[in-house]
Amino acid sequence: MIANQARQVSRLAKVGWGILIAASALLLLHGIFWLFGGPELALENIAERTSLATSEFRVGSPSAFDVISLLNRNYAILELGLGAFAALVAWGGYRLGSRWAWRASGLLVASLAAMTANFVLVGGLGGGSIGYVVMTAVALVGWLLARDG
Amino acid sequence: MTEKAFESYAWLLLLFAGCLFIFVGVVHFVSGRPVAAGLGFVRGNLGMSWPELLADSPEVANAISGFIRMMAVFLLGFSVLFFSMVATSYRKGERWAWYAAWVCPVALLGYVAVAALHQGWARGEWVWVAPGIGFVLVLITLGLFLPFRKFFPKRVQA
Repeated sequence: MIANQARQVSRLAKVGWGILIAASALLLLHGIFWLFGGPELALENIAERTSLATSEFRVGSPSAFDVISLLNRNYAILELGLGAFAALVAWGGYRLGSRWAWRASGLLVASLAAMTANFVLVGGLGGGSIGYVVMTAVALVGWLLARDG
Repeated sequence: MTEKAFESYAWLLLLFAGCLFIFVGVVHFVSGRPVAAGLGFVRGNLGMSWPELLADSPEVANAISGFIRMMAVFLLGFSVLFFSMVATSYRKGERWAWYAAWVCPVALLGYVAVAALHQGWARGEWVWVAPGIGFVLVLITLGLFLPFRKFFPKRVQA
């Protein structure tokens, strides 16, 4: 049944799907990094989002720091889930060239774009924001290339 | 071979779970604050309600709010992907979709495990969200196992 639905995937589209798989894998790796990065990453985020002196915050509000560290790890789990899922969908698109996989992969690009906009609006183009901008741009190029597949 | 009714319609359970995720994502993104069990989590861990936290430490509340919106964005991306896969490939019985759907319960269990390991089993965030997650896990497990034979049919002896 699947073989009947498979379409011929052009070489250019395969490159696009490959880029989307790589972008998803990067997201997955980033999630692992955040999951095991520990409270230091949460501190960086607090510094980006507030005018709090992070070292004082850690000592002065340990329970709030604990909550934010946990949210940091929850965020990492979501990033891992989205990365793994997007990689599987892109793999399906690479193999079968299905139309819905291309449309669904647009959601990965949209999620990355929304996250990038969030980071840029909060912290400007410095620090980690530039990484998100590059990843979003690469994913967008891959998505557009995969269109014909 | 004719499909049994529960094999034909079990995908709706996963679709419903996907709808729940989308709803949770939208609510958190729009409100930018803890909702339902999250409020209990904030009170349990910070000893104050959300409005009290806003008044007492607006910068902490702002940081928490930022994280909640970031999580909501990825939850929405994940859940709409899940929803579209269930409505198309999973419904048609494509085997790869059955494997891919496992990302969802694994991520949920990972979420609970991280929360429990981070703060301890006794007072972790998971205590607040466990009933909701348990319900969704039951839905997803049924949605995955009821149509098992649709994805992996028995081989007929010649």
